[in-house]
Amino acid sequence: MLISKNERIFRGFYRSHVSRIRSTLLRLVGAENLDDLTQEVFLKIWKGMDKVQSDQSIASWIYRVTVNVAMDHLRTNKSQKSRMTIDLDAVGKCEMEAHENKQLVLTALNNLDFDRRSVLVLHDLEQLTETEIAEMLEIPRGTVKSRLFSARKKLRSFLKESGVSL
Amino acid sequence: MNSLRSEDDSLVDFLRAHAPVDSGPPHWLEERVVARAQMKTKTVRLLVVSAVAASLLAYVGLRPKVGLEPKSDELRVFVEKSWDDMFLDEMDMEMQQALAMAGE
Repeated sequence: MLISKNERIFRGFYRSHVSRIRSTLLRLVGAENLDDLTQEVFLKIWKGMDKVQSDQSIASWIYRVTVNVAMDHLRTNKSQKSRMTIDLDAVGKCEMEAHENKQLVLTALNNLDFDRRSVLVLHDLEQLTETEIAEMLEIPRGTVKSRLFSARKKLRSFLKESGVSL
Repeated sequence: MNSLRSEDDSLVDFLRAHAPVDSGPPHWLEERVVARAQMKTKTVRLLVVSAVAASLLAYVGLRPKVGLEPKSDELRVFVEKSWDDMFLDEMDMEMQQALAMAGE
């Protein structure tokens, strides 16, 4: 089944997937440029949506597009020191401790290189399987496992040093 | 092995509990995304129409003027003749192939 390329379907697509895409982008690159990057992802989705073959492949394809947009963004902004921060307005009435933990998680993610970060975000936060990630990123499953292992090790050590007891 | 597994579980639980979640897109984003997508489609269509129009013009023998015209008359005649020969030869071949395929 191919998805036809029309505005109504595209709007439906946007409404169904925008939150997930933005959360993934937020975890991969931070809050800065989030709106621009969301637009980039949807333009790529628009460009390729008539080529997607099945419902099953849609989610995987959306994640692939999102990771690629995040990676391109980090590559082109390599010269600037990437700093992942939370939009304080978005925190709203959350308690300070919860906010500190959120910032801590973002900083911990930011300390990982993009390869490890993307695998950890997709596996531990987006809850994709190792096989799905391997297919999506076109890397062997063993590489997914090893990246996940070292990402978790690094995160655990960072969080312990920051006083978090796990 | 079990303790490693539980360490992983604790870490994942902590990450899931505290990972940032988007608070929702701004209300204008949907319209912007749709407008940009439509613009992209229009640009592609315009490029396709331009390419088809250029091919048709070339087919009926009208070629677009190029900016750099040869200055001497002799050179201009030579360039035009070469271009016509090349183009007409190609046309002849295509016509012959089309006729052959049609069984003429």
